[in-house]
Amino acid sequence: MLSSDELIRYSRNILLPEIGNEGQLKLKRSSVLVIGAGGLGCSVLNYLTAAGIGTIGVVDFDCVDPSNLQRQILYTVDDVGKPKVNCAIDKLSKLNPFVKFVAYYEQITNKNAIDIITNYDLVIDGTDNFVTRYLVNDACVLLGKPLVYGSVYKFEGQISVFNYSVNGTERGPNYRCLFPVPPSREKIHTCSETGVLGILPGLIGLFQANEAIKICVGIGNVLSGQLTIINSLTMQFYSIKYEKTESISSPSNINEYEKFDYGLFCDGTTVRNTKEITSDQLFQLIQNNRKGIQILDVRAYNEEPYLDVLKELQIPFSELIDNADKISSERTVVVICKIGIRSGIAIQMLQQNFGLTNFVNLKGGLTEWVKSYNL
Amino acid sequence: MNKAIFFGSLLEATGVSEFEVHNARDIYSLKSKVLAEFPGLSDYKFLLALHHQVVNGNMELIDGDVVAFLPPFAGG
Repeated sequence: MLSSDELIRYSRNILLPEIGNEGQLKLKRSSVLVIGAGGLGCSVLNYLTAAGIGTIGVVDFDCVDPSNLQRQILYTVDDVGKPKVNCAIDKLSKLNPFVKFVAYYEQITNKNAIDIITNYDLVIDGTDNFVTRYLVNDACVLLGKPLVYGSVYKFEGQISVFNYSVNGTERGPNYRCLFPVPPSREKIHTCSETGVLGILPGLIGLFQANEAIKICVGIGNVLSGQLTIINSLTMQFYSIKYEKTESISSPSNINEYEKFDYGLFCDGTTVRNTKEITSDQLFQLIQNNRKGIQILDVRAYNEEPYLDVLKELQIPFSELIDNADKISSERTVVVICKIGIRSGIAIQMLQQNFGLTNFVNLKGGLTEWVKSYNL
Repeated sequence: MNKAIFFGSLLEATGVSEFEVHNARDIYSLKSKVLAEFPGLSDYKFLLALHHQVVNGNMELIDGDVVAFLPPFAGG
C-alpha cells in the first residue's frame, strides 16, 4: 500500500496509465543495486530515488575528490575526503525518506559480489574499469539478475541491458556476448586519463535509470540484445543488435567464479611474451617428436570439435589452477583452445602462478587447425 | 563502394570518423583493407556491425554497405 504522502509525492508517475498505482507499488517493492557512485552512479541514484524504488544499495570504496565535483552531482565541497557512499545516501535520504538505503563502503570483487548482488532484483553498472565490469557481469549471469550497463568515453556513451528475461523466458545476452575479451592494457583509457565532459555520464546514467524503471514496472522495450551508442558532440544515436553467444572463458559456477583471476583476464589478453606455433608446426611436431610435447586442451568438456590426434590432457580453463600438477614441467606444453585466446590467457596465468615457462600457444586455435588437418 | 565507420577510441586511432573501402567482397576483406590503411587499429579490440547487427565471422557485402567498428570502453 502507498501512504497518502507517497500518493502525493508520486502523483505524476501514478497519473501515467502505464504506471498507475500498481506500477508505483512495483517500484516500491523493487530493490536495485547501484555499483559505483561516480559520474554514472550519481545520475542514476538521483532519479531512482526520486522515482520511489523501495530499496537501493550503493557500492563504492572511494572518497570524494575535488576533481569529482565537475560531474558527480550528488557531492559538494563539504564532502571532499569523505566516503562517497555515505555522502550520497545522506543527500538521497533527504530527497526521498521513503527509500531504504544500504551502504557498501567496499570494493566489489569476485569474493563479495555474490553475497551482495543476491539481495537485489536488478543491478546497475556504474563502474569505471574492465575488471569490475566483467566480474559484475559474471555474477549477474550466475545469479540470474538483469544488469543495466552504461559506459562513457570522452563524448561517447554506450547503454544496454544484459541477462534480461521476461516472465522466466531464457535470459538475454550479456557483456561477454558483446565484448568477449577486454582490450589490452595500453589501449584502456579512463576518465582520469582522457577526460570526460561531466554531462555525458549524467546523460548515460539517466538512460540507465530509465531502463531500470522500465524493467521494474514491466513497460516499454528494454534494451536487451541491443547496444545504443550516443555521441554528445554530434547528437547521433546509433544502435546495434547482438545475440547470445557461447562465452569463451567465463566461470560456470560460483566456486569457479570466486577463483577466477579477473585481474589477469583483463591484463593477460594481449597474449604477449607467449610463444606461438602454427598448425603446420604443430603437425610437424606430432609427426617428428610426439613424445617431446604435451598437448593441453583448455576447452570445456562439451566443446567441439573432438580431434583424436590432439587428444592428451584436457583441463577446462576454469579448473586449471586446481589441476596444474597434471601439467608437465619438462616437456614443451602446447596449449590449445577454440581460437587461441583462452589458451594464451591460460599460459599467462600458469606462468604467473606457477612460474612455468615451457608453453607454446596454438595460433588461431582449433579453428585454424581444422582448416588444414581435420583429424 | 563500402564504408567503414569508427566509434570511441577508434576515432583517434584512425583520425577519421569514416573511410571508403573499394572492392571489398565481404567483411574479412573490408577489415583487412581497413587494417592496411590504419595499421594502428590492429592493437585495438572492437566488434563489427553490419546493418546494425553484430557480425560474428564473415558475411558478404553488397555495394553501399556500411560496417561499424565499435570498441569497448569502461569509463563511468
